[in-house]
Amino acid sequence: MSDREFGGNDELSLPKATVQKIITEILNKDSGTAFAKDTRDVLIECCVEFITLISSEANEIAEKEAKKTIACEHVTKALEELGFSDYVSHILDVSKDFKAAQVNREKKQSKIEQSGLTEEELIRQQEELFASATSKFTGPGEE
Amino acid sequence: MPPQTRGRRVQYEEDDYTPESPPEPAHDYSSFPPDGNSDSSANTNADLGIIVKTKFPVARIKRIMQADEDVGKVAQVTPVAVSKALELFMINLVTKAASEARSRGQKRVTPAHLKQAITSDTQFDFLEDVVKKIADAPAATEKMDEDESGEPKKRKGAGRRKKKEDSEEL
Repeated sequence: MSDREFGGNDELSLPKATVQKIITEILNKDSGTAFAKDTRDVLIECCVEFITLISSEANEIAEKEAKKTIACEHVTKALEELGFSDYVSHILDVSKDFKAAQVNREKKQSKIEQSGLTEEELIRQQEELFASATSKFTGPGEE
Repeated sequence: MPPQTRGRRVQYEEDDYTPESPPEPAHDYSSFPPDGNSDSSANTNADLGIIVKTKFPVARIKRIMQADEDVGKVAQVTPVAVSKALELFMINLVTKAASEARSRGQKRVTPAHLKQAITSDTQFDFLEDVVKKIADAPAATEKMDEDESGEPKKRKGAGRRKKKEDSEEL
């Protein structure tokens, strides 16, 4: 149940420094409030419990829909059922941003392919550019 | 500080801050940015207007999710979504715990304050097991003279007597 029972198994917990940083950011509004270390550790346990709760609920929803992969919509449905429906719009925003970022990444990767040139042609073009740059550089010096 | 003084201060804090309903952000987010990005107007203020820049490691979130052997494959976006949910959950919980501390005139948020925040909202019922080993915080209005010295340790010790068996393993 508790993290302590797993001893040094940090893998299934959250990094303390990151959690501490986030707490500081949250409390930044009213500086002067300190968050005790043992409170932070309890909070981490709560966070792990939260992740477990959401993912097991999302998993059940996905299974009901005969889906093998838990998708974002299963997470949002889980949040709604567990009384966190006010989180959903934020999740949808993040998911949209993430998907947009992925599309961009794919575009960047395929830029070379989109040029429609073979590797040999690309290398030849590059060498031409090198040659013209060299002649531009050495040219005025010779004259 | 005599108890009356403390009572007055608690009163003042409550006027200033109601734990039940967190204050609205001073600025209206629904009109910012002024145009475009229309979907942000649909946002609730679940983040209480707090922007957290630090992000959780997504790989770690995924690993915690899949520690449950029933959980199989997850989409790439799923741990990112859960990470955001976790961020909102933390904002919610930390703010509530801090206001519990404040309503008692304390600047240090103790596990007892966190417990109080959890038990005061049915949304957090699933955390009962996590916090049941923590001693209760003293009520905001009574027994204040005991921790006038401002020693949270002493107060915690006093509360612990009640649930000695539970807190022993801590």
